[in-house]
Amino acid sequence: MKCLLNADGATSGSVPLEPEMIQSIHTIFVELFEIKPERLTPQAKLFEELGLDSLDAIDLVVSFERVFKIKPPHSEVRDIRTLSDVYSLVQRYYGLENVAAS
Amino acid sequence: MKRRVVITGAGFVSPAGVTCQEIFAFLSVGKSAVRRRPELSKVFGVQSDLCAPVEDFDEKDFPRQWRRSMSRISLMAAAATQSALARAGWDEKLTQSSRTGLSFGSTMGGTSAIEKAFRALFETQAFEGFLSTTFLQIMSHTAAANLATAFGIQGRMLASCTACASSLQSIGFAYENIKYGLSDAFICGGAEELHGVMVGVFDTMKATSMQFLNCFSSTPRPFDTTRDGLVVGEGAGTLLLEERESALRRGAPILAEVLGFSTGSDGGHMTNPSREAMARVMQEALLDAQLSPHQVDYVNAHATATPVGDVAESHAIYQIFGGETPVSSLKGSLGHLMGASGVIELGACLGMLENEMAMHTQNLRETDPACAALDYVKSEPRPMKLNTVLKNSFGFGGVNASIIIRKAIS
Repeated sequence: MKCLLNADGATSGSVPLEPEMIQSIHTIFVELFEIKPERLTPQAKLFEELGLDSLDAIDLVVSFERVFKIKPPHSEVRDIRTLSDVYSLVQRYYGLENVAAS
Repeated sequence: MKRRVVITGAGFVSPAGVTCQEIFAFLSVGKSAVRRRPELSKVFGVQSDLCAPVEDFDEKDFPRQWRRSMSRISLMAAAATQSALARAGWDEKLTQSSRTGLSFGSTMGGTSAIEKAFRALFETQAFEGFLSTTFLQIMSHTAAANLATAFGIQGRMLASCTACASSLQSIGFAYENIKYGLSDAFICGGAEELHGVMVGVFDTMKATSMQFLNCFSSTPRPFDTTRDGLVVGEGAGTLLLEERESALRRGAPILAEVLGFSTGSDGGHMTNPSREAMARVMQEALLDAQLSPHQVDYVNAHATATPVGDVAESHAIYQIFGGETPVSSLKGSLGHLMGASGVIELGACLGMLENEMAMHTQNLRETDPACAALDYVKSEPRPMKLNTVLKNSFGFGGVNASIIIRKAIS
C-alpha cells in the first residue's frame, strides 16, 4: 500500500488518500466500533455523531499501529475531531514512515 | 445500628433458567445441566470433557459501549442484573445514589479474553494490537467494574475474588453493609464463564468427574458412595438487597429476608477443607441471625461431589445441626457454577421457600458411609414447612461462607 505524496516527498492534507487506505480506515470503524458504513462520511464528527469516546480513541491508535504500522503521538490524536482528521493523520504518518523506510 | 435486610430482586443467566421459578422447576423434575464438549479434551488435553454450559445466551444484546470492555462473564452478569432490577421494580434514580452499592465476585476475570490476549502477546512478543479495552475484560474485578459502569453505580464497590465462595461472600458483604447502615441497597452476586482452563485446573487436581462420560447426566453425585468429582459450569446471578423499611416504603416485592452471615478461613491448607472451620462459620452465621440450629429448616450444602469435600462438609453440618435437619446439594443437577454457584443456588432456595419444598440431591442413590448421618433429601423434592434456610459456599484457599435467609413475613 502506497500513500500519495507531494513532489518534495512530504505528505499534505490536500492530497487524497488512496481509496484502499480509506477503506482500511473504514474497516476499523465498522469492525471495532460497529458503525454502519453509510455513516462514515469525511465530515462525520467522531465523538458527537459516531459515539466514540476517549477509550475508543486509544484503541483507534492501537489499530493504526496494527493496520498501518504507524504510531502517531497521542498529543496529535487528541486533536482529531472528524473522520477527515483521521484521514489526514494516517496520511501524514504513513507518509513519514514510508519516507523514513525508503 | 442494626437494620433488617431483604431480598427484593433476583435475576440469573444459568444452565437451568433465568428466574428462581425456572431454576426451581428445572431442579424439581430432575433435569441435568451437564453436557459433553469433546473440544475441551481436544484443545486442552483434559481427561473429562464434561461441563455445564449456558447454551442460549445472546452476547449481542447489549450496546457496544458495554460490550467493548466485557468478556462473557460480564455480559452474563449484566443480563442477570438487568433482570433482577426489573423484577424488583427498581428505579434507575435509586441506583445513582452513593447509598446504593455493588458487590460482585468471580474466580477469575474473563477467561476467553485472557486466552485471546495472552496468546497474541506471547506469540508476537509485542503489545501491538493489544486494545485498551482488552485489559478491562480480563482484570480480576471485571464483572464488578463493568456492572458499576453500565448501571451507573455511585456507592461502594466490592469485588470478592474468592473462587467458589465469591458470590455468597458478595451477598454477605452487601448484607453487612446495609445492616450496619453503610448503604441502603446493594446489587450483589457473582459470575463465571466456562473455559477449558477452568476444567483443566480441576482435572489436574483429579477433582473432575470422569467415570460417567457415557452417562453424563448421572454425575456429579454429591454425598453418593460412587461420586468421583465435580463438573465445571458457568453462569451469573444477581440479587438486589435493600434495607427493609425503605423497601416496604417503595412497595418492593420482598422475596426473603437475610438473617445472618459469616465468613472465615481455614488457615491451614489451600485445598483440603477443614470441617472445624466450616462448622465455625455456620455457627457464627447462626449467632448473627440470633437463631439456634433447630430453627433452621433446611441446609443447602456446597457439596461439589469431590471425595474429600463432601465428607468434611457433612460432618461440619452434623456438628452444628445433628442429623435431623434436611440437607441437599444442587450440584448433582447444576454442576459446579464456580463463582456463580452461591448466588444461583441461593436463587433456587428462594424458589424452595416459595414452594415450601426442599430440593433433593440429584444422583444421590447410596449415601457414602464416610459422610455423616444427616437427613439427606434424595430421590425427589420434599414438601415441608420451610421458613429458614442456611446455605454454604466454600472455596480454594480455605475460604468459607454461610448465609441464612428466611421467608418474607409481612
